[in-house]
Amino acid sequence: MSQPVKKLDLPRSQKKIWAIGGGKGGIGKSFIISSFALSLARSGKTVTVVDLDLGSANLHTCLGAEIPKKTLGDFFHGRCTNLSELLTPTSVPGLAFISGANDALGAANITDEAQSRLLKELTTLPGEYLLIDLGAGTHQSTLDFFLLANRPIIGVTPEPTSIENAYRFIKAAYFRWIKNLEAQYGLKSVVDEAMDQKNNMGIKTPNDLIKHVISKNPQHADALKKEVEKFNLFLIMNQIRTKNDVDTGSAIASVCKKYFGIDVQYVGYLDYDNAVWQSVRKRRPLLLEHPFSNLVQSFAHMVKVLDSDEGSTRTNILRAA
Amino acid sequence: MKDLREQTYYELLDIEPSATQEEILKAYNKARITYSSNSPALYSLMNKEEAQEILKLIDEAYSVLSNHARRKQYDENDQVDIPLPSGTEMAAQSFPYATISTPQTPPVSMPAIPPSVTTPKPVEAGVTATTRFGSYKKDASFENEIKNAELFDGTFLQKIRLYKNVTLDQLSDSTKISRSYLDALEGNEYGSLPAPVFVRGFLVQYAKCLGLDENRIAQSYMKLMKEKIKR
Repeated sequence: MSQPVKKLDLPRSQKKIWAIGGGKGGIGKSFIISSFALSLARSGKTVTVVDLDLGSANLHTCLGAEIPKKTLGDFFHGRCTNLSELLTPTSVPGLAFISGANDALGAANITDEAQSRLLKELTTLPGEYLLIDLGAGTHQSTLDFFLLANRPIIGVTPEPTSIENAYRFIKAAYFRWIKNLEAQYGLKSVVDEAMDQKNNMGIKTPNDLIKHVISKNPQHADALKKEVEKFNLFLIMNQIRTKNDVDTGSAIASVCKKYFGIDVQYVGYLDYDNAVWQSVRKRRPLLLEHPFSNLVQSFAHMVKVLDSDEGSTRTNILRAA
Repeated sequence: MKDLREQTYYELLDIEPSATQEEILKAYNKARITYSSNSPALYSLMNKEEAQEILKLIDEAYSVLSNHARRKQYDENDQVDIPLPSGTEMAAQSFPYATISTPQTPPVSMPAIPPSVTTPKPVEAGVTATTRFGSYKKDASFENEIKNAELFDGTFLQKIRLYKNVTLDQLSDSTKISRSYLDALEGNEYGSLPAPVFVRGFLVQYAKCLGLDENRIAQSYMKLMKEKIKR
């Protein structure tokens, strides 16, 4: 049973928030989000990237930085109340990060109160862009951090395990989103029951769920439909080896639309490249180590797509609440 | 948010209502791959039956949008479902043969009924041959019948397929031709088939899978189809 949703009073912000999830570990989430951060910063933007892979944080390594003295653990334990105090500059102008490294064992299990504080503070961080790296799994806090973004990105590799977890993550995020909507509109929640895949309400897909919620609350039908249309995701395929792998991204986006009723924009793909693990071993970001490589060009293209106004007019429900 | 069954044919194929025939065919082929039984994009999400249901809808969408008359009717009915015409009447109206160049082939005799084909009997136990799907026992007399046949209609093709122990599912998976089209092909249901140019492609793939001479099969079937629709 998931925790009740608390109505969050977060400040409205024009900040561009990108978060990457995907359910499975080891698919390159930290590599992708750190590369996006570097790409944005190198094009003159101001970027803060936060490692919210609580319990397994290693974003600093992808950024080529040492473990900072102050990390998120200091925030959770009250040693620092202002998240900005945790910011660590990088060698790239305009790019700073907050590390989650070296946190206490059990850091992944943050309290509701700590999560609420963190969600509020995140949007006050400096920079035009806030990029969030998330951990594996579909923990409630991971989903809420993901839903904070106006560019929620799903990272997938063309392996069955990754695809399976991605679908699970997408469903979990959507159900969490609906639960937030129920709280916002003061509706009796059906999500917890619907989360059980063997529920007796006939709810199997996100599409089934929202129809059920609307049928129970016809007075909010129009408003709920409008809210639901805002839920859209962005997909990136990583570690591509064949043309079929590339096409799998389009296929996943199509399946999400047809089967789930969720708009997923296929932003692009990244070739499998030995240069990636080599740069990680050297603890030198790929964008700095191989600035003219094809992968770096791919990142630049994807940043352009994500940074455009096309594809999403979504405003986050947590911030709008 | 729309259920699959509420989606328009254009939405089912992920195309704009202004899509060209080329775009429709491209989208259809893409959708066939996406919802094929071995598609990685379906992993853990839906079972074979659910995927087949979606494929049927996609086939239905394509059968309407790939045909000018049906598409026009569909568009004019403001996205309302229309019954799919069937049989040779529709085929005659759908396939503008006059404008399609068909390969020139020597005239073949057109019997009113398909050639009688005796059920193949394996006469040489232990003599086997293989297709890409597996093996089958060779029957010399039936092999001879295939070799000398001048007419390859759906019934005869089905007999050859069964003789070679190949299922329609295997053919569909391998060729990405929908089950409904393969059924129509073997059932000589010309009205349920798409434009001739696509049927010809289906026949070539079908023949290749069964290790048959694709040109001979395609020419014979197309000729027969054309004659039947003219009547």
